[in-house]
Amino acid sequence: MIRGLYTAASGMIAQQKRQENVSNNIANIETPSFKKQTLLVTARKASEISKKSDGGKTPIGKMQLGLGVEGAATDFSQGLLRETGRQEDLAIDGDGYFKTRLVSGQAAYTRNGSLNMDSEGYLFNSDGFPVLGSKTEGGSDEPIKIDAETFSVDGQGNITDSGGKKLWKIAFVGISDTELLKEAATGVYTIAQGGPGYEIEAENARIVSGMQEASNVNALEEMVKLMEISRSFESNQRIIQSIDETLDKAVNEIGKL
Amino acid sequence: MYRALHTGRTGMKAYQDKLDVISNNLANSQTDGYKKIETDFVSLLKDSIKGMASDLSGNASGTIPMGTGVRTDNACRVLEQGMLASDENPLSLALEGQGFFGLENESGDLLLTRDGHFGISAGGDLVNGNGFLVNMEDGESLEGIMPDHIEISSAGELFSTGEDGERKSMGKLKLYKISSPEVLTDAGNGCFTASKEHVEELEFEESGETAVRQGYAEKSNVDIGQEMIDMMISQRAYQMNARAVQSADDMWSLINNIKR
Repeated sequence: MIRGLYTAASGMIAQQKRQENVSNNIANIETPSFKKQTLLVTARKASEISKKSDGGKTPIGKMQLGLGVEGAATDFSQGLLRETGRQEDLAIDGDGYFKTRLVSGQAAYTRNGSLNMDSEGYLFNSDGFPVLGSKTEGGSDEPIKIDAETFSVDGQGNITDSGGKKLWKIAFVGISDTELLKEAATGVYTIAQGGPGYEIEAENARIVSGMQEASNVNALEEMVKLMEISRSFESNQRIIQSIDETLDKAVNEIGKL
Repeated sequence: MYRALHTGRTGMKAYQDKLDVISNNLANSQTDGYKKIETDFVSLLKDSIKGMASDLSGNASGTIPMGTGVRTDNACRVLEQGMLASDENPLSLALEGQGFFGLENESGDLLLTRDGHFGISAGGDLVNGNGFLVNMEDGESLEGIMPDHIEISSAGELFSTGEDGERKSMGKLKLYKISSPEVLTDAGNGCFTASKEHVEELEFEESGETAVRQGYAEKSNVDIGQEMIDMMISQRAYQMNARAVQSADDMWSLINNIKR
């Protein structure tokens, strides 16, 4: 009987966490290049139950006792591309990531290509991370530094100055297994071990200039989830109440004349 | 539960800020020389929550990232060219291309503006609507000269034509450029200030990219349609965040009512 109380409580706790997650998706519905996250909820491992018969225990099967949040999955699907008209806003159309690096020097990946130039000419995205590229084909990737005042970028990521001279090539790659990507800071993802080993050529991706990737949160989907969560929460609450009532009867009314 | 309420609150705050920016832009959609303000959203840092309890399942999973909401990024001016509209006043000037007119206020500070509604003060100086001096090179006194007799070239040189038809140079407008729009600080009345290291004089006859247009006014660069759409989106997004807060509140109420 008490077991059921904990099962229902675990349901409430899991729904509460899902609700927090949905709230965050809703809050970021207009954040550029935001990727929605889903919490993975699974049933807890079933435990063996047995019946007591004269002299011994006979197993009668397994019983699942509640659920828990097992992990989180980020949905890397592309958000809508929105025109900004600002030439320095770069978006990736397709499966690809700009290469960047964390302060520690670790390789990282981002979809945010709203670039700004600092006073020394280095290019940073709006989250403050440098965008990497190479000066020559096949050269090593380093932070891009531009001396020209204006520049333009083509679909392959070639940066040219106003005279059409090629200055840099922006490094953008595909990731063979996006499940390995972990968010290290706002909008920046890293792969814990052997990051560069998962880089593949971004074949189906191109860079579009003057565009910004919108958040991939779907308003309808999140609203439906919100409703589903609060109802499921309510059902679990009712179960607790009904168990409580039964316990009340068992404790106070059995044996009454 | 507190986290969900808080996350919803950050969302409501961010969209409220965005609505403030939009209403300011809309209010100034007819202000000459006005440059619209834009702001973007940035998600807040992620917190982490504990994974599934290990006592029953046996496998203690690690921590799970959980977002904590959103905020608006620093608001920034968009220095896009506004439409040029012709103006009756011969001393209405508009800039085509980058750059700003320089003004000097009572305390001698440099103010930058794109609003070129100028006139001649009683003292014979070229001033704007607030009486601030327009910065000039070799500026001669314009006292007693009819505005109709002043001619301003696209390079910003002032000429006056006297009764006798004699053309006389009266000085040259000084224009300024800034390193990036982020350095501008609002000074009111359509003027901006910026710290000295970010401002330099614009040599505009050489670049050819900037031209002074006499008898024109630069209209506000606010796109009303765009602002209205942004307003609708922000309003609905605000509503949705409020809904998330409400739902968190309902859930909390259910918790409180477990024990009747």
